[in-house]
Amino acid sequence: MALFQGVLFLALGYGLLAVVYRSLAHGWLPFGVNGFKGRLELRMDEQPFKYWAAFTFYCAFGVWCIFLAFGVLTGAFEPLPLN
Amino acid sequence: MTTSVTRIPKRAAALFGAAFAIVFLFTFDPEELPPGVLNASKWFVLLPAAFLFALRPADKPWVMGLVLTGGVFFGVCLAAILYASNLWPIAGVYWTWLWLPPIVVGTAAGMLLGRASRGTGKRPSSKRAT
Repeated sequence: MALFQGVLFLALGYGLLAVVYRSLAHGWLPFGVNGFKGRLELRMDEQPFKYWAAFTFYCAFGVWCIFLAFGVLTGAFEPLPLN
Repeated sequence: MTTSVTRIPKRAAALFGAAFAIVFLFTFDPEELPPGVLNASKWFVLLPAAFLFALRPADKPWVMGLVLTGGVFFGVCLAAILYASNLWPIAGVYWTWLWLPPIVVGTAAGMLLGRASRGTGKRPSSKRAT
């Protein structure tokens, strides 16, 4: 269970950081759904404050997932219960 | 529709560094760090980040490394202040010093690779004919 959760959190964290890094090249960051109008996209040039706030949030969450994975894999944290 | 932003702004490195430091110090107890976690955070998170930031910098690559270091310092200071510590400047210097080697190595590697790729990207026709 620890190995599975560790690998899962690692993939989630690095994946999120990859999305953030890709957004720096493309200039926009996906941020969930926008009601019935499709995907909410925060653009660096049009909504700089929202974009950088989302960037910081994504970075923090991605790094937290990676640290959680490190903790689970090294035995510092107990794996999360599944039930 | 995508806008083409090919260079990474310095702000990205600063925000990433601050988020990294704050999340680390709030995830693990700084007094009782599990063995291996500090090294893993150095070489599997900070080093790739410094490398990637130095690959396509908006400014000089070493400036990106410096800004990343500044972001880490700011994040540590903020976390220490949130811990109600009076020693936040000392904590900032201490943790930034601990996390400095991967930033230096990653920035140097990114700088070298970026320079090498720009060097091989030159067209032969741009050379002056003798």
